[in-house]
Amino acid sequence: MEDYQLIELLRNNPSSGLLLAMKQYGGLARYILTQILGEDHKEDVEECLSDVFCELWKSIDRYDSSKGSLKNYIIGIARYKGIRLYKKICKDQKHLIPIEENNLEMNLDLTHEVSQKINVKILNETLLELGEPDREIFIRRYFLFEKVKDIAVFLKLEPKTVENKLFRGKAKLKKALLERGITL
Amino acid sequence: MKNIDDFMNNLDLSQLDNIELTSYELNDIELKHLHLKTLKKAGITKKKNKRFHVKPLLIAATLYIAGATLVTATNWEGINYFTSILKERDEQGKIVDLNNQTPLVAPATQVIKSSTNQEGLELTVDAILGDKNAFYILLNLKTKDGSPLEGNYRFDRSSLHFPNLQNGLGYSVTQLSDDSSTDNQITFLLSGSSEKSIINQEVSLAFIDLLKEVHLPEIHSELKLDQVYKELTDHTLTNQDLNLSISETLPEVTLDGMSLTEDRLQLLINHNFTTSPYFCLKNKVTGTVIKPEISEEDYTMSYYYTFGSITSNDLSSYELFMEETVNEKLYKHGEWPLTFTVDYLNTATDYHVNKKINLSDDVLKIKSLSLSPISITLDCRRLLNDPIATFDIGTDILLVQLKDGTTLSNFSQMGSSSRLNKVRVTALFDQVIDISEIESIQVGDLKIPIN
Repeated sequence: MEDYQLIELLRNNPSSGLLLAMKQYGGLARYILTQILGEDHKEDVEECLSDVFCELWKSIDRYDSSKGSLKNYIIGIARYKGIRLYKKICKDQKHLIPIEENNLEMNLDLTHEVSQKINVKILNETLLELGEPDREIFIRRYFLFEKVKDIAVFLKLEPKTVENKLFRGKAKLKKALLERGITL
Repeated sequence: MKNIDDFMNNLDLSQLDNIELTSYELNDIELKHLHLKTLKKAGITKKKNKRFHVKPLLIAATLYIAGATLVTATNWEGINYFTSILKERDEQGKIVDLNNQTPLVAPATQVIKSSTNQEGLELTVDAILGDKNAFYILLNLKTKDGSPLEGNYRFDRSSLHFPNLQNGLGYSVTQLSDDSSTDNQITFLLSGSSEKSIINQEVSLAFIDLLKEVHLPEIHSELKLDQVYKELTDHTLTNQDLNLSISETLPEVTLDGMSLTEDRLQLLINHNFTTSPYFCLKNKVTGTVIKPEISEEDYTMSYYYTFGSITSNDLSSYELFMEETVNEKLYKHGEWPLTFTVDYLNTATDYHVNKKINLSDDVLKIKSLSLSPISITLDCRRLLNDPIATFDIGTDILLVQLKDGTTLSNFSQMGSSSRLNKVRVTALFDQVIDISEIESIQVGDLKIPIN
């Protein structure tokens, strides 16, 4: 089913629309949530999965097809809901990505509209400039929270190579932000 | 912000397009559980009228949601009040003074009289009353041959489009009570709000398939429950498709399963009613009626009807019947498109605010507000950076204080839209307000004086 048909169905017949959306994207959303919440938190994943589709239905009128596919929109919701639940469960005692790996070592200003716009532009441009597979690795690690070893297996690379590419990506992003971005 | 994963919240999601992702597929049982759980959480019931009894169904406001604007709470008093203003006009088409306030909206009222014909039905946009963001559109539907339009009707689908608005538009369509229920016409009021100004914009409206409310009498089934039970291979639900067709005028009704355990009879009934019919058991000898203890929606759109105190020996004594109910049926298939240009004067005045208010789960900065005799619009920013979460703001936090000491807290409708941290809320007053008489607007814990 095409996105626009599914959206129309979600609006006009939420029950059927949700069922079809779940059939089409439920597995993908579960994968995203499992990356965030962990294989051993199946119940939390299930609970959160229904939150994802509940949010999809509530927010379907905010979905703008010109900004991306419905699949990506659902991934965005799943990531957001997953992180929120993870923070609630772990109460900040545990981090999704180790602090030293995750720290950008600068404090970005995302509170004001203009500075946020500038910094976000730099982020997305820098990622594109990384080229492949570096861009994909960066997204898999920092957006989808995939483990380094899993990324390595999937892309048929050595874990060390993945780590190096992540390190280089982080350095490039930091450099671009220092040169053109807005920090606090 | 110091963490990369937090910064990645701002990733342009189209960057995911070329990334092949794993999927942890759901099996049928998992899918069923997820679906039921989600429907419960979202408060979605398949049918509009869960509790079955005869009552006017279609006359109630019909909610449509379009774009990013969510329309909530339609107030009958306000709907009737604005309908009166739009309906009562003099020979020149100008609105008449229903009270001291109605002249205030005269410049914001426009007579349209644009019609479209389809399938012997003429739909006319009679008039529009509005401001920058809020609007009421009066529609008249009549039969060309003069045959009566009795009862309650609803268009199955509709669309409303302004060229400058891809999103941020919400509206509802309400059939109004009819002065003459046997004449050949009925009236609808479309009320709504938009994120951007609709003045000087061309409106494209389309209404598709007219449905009519149908009253159904009590209908008895010819089905022999004891025979069905005997034919079951075991005593559990078997998904047997047993046609329960009772009358040609009824939507399809099937018995998809049956079980009898511990003196509890459970029937799984599937139907295509737009409302939920209520199936009961009646003792053919004593006339005693047993109502189902549980009626639960299944993800397959079937319903479980569970009856207590029934044994297999009792089954032959009982018949299944459907209580008197209402349903909708297609009255006319077709599409009624209409276009016109909004050309009334803007009666709204804008006020700079730039102050914060604390809500239970968010902090809002009200950048500005716009006041007109029919509505108030708040332009806000959410300060908690939570772009994906749904944002709801209720009319209960809005209060209009007039200079004479009276307060207004009733609104005929409310629309809100949010995009990233931008939030726009429009509340339609339930009467015309003289904005020069407004002392202040109270939004949550913030009082905004109006000068």
